[in-house]
Amino acid sequence: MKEDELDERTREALRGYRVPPSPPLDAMWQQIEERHFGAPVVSLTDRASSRPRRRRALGPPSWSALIAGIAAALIIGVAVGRMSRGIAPVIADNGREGQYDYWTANAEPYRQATTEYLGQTVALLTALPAAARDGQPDARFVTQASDLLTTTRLLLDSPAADSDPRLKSLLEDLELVLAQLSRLPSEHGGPELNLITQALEQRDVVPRVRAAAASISSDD
Amino acid sequence: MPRVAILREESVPLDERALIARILDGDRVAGRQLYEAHAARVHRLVYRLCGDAELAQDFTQDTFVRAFDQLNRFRGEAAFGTWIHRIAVTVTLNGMRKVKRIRERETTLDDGPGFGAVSQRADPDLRSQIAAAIDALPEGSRMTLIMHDIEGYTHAEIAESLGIAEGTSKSRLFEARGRLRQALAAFVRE
Repeated sequence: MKEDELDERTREALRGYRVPPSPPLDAMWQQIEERHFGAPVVSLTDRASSRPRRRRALGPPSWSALIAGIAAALIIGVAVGRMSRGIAPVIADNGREGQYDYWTANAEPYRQATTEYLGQTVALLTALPAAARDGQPDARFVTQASDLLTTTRLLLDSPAADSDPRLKSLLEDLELVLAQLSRLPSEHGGPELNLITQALEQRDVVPRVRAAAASISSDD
Repeated sequence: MPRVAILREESVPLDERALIARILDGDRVAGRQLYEAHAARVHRLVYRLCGDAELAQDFTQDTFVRAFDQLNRFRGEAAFGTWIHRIAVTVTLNGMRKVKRIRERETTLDDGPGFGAVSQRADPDLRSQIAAAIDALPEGSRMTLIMHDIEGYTHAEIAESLGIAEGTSKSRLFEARGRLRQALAAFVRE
């Protein structure tokens, strides 16, 4: 073998040295979250097939309960907002005297709820490829999608979506995805899940959700 | 050799200072965002260094837990990416030394191969020879070679991560490449 050829093959071989496997990001995050923040809020990858790395000291709060809490908060927020609009309109200081700017005046609760919702949606969507590889979504997965769908529709009906066209467009995309996920059959849902996963990748939905969450958070 | 800018964030632009402030207030959503921005790269480096999937997971987790625990000490003088990679290297080195000690004790009786060892005689393939040659390098040279020639770190980034001078990083890389050439000399003669 000539030196030039050896150099080329050496470079190739170096690139092939200990090629890392795909990291189990969700499973690793569960442990990190538990060890630093306490019991995890979301435990999507706590499946029978996943490798239990360490025992949990405390049981995590149920995902459904959490979503129900957020949904309830949004329902209350929307209801209170609509009531207050009817009873005592808030005039925000936005430079347009006399114009009602509900979002500016009431943004913070929606911003928090939206940030939490987007974080949980990312967690669900990033778990999709693993679920697709397993070939069959479990019932809990479908329930979580259904709960998130409820929250999505509440947000779409809220001033948060009205005031931000990009967020509204994202929420509409997520509504479609979550509606599909929540209708997955309890058996033989694997092929459909694969199609949904591919569609998500093609539309770059997860990066957009992450970017939206980061953008909303940085507005805090 | 194609270079990859490992420590530069090219994906979602994050306001890391704001995220760090929120993590310090106990905000786990912010923690997840910061984790997602860096976890894959940290895991990749850790795996290249230790070569074991389970250890790489453990070391990556330990890295982030330690980073979050010590976040109040992060001054922001260097990028967060540089800071957490330095922690990752430290955690991995210490972890590998601990595992090596345990495995050496366990393999004394059967005289098996050490941690990360690859038999040179068993497989004459070039890739295996290179893997064996890299594994046989002194620790500092091996890490420098992996970080520079495989993962694409600059000497400045390696120096920051390993706590050495840039000149030391360069000389270690020179030494590592020289040893690789020696190990592969037989292929040139063939």
